[in-house]
Amino acid sequence: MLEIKDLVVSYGGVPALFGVSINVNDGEVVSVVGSNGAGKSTLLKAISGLMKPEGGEVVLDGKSIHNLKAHEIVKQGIVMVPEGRHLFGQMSIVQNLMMGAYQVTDKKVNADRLEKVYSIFPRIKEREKQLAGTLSGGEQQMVAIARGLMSEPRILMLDEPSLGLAPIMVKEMFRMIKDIKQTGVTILLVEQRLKDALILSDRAYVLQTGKIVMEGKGEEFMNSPEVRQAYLGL
Amino acid sequence: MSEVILQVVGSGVLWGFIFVLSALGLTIIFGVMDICNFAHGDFLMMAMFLAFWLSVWPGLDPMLSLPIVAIAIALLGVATYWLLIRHVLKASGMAQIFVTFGLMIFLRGLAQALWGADYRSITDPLVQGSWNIMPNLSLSKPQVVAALCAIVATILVYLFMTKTRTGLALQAVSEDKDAASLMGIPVQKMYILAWIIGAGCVGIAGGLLSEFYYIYPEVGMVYGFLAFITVALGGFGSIKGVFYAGLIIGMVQALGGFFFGSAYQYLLVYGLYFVCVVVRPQGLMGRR
Repeated sequence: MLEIKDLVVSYGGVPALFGVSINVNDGEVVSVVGSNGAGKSTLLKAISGLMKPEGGEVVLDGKSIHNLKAHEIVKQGIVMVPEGRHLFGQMSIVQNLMMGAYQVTDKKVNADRLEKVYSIFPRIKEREKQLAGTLSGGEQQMVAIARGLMSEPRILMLDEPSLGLAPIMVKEMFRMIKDIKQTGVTILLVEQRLKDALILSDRAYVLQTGKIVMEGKGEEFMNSPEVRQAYLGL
Repeated sequence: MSEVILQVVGSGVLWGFIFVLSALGLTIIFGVMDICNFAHGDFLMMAMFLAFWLSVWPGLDPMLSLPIVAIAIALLGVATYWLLIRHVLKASGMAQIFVTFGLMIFLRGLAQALWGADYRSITDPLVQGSWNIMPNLSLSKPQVVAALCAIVATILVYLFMTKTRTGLALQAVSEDKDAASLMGIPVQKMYILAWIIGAGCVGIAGGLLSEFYYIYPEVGMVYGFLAFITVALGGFGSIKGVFYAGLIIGMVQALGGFFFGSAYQYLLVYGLYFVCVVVRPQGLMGRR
């Protein structure tokens, strides 16, 4: 349903993506892996409308969307949970979540969605009045994902959700992403933690210095010694 | 003596509320888009002149023309955003300063050219005289009314910013505009809204002030500075901070005028600001 064709993006004049093509099908978990600086975050930023591509297309259900602004992309059903969480630290958890559903004006719908995300992340419900800036890293990441889910996206893009979390939290985080997958949300995941990402993914792409160098099923990547050595450093 | 002090403090508090309202607009604009509007005091001056001319024709007292003045200055704010600020949002800080500084000089020059440098005042204001509360304590009626209006406006803005969905979205933009746009919040619309509220507040303050204060092209200088100091003392972008800082500055100004003479009344205020910059540069309620 989401097709990225020959995407070219520069970061402050420096080219970061040279003609990247990937596609994401309904209900899949697709991960993009690669080393630091390969252009993974740039790819997600370009899809979410934070960065304008210089060439190529982003097509959702046959409709070209790369000229839309970031807030209009949300309306199309694509939401990104940015790297480093970017919560509104001076606002409470529940206010952060409400901002996630900004485009929904119906209070009843909002309340239902809130219950739904609390059922996925029960830990944050107990603290809904607490300021987001005072939470631990793991809790902040949960709020960030929950906030992304509040708009009930068709495609949820997660940029390094495990970054900076304690090992025990990383495990929990991947378990929760699995739960979210089971609710039918399509997920595009960018991760440096290859093993966890690949186990969770239906398909994966390897991005290296701005180009896709490999595409395949998650397990295949895990089981192929060459891939592991050449691209994943496992 | 103590009764005289009470009188001075009382009048200082009344002034303080006007400072709060005029600084509120500045802090909202700064908070949401990191732009310091140096023409803020001249928005106030424009509001005062508009209120004055509306009192000449069609003869509306500033208290009655308040909504018209507020809307007109809010539109001036939107025009400022659309014609000037929008184009320098991604430019260097220096370019942003020059743009609003230039607007300040332009508005002042425009007022001079159109209406001359004369001091004007409303000749027969709707609210005048004073209330004698105690034998030695009397409060000027227009100031009391202006303070009450300023309190109401400040409370409304505060409630809007903290309790409504749109107000929270404004706060979200002020904290992290990329994250806000990723949540589907239209950032550009929020910028325009910030200018509407920010300029509208200073428009109301100007309308209220014109009921009892002189109206002249340079009037924005003093009040612009005071608004900046109020915002800086309170902590850039903080609404609560502006509230406390405005009251403190109102009182310090009144006490300074009483003890050192009115020629020096702002000396104490600027001195206080200096101390604040050295001791607590983020302001009373500022973050970081």
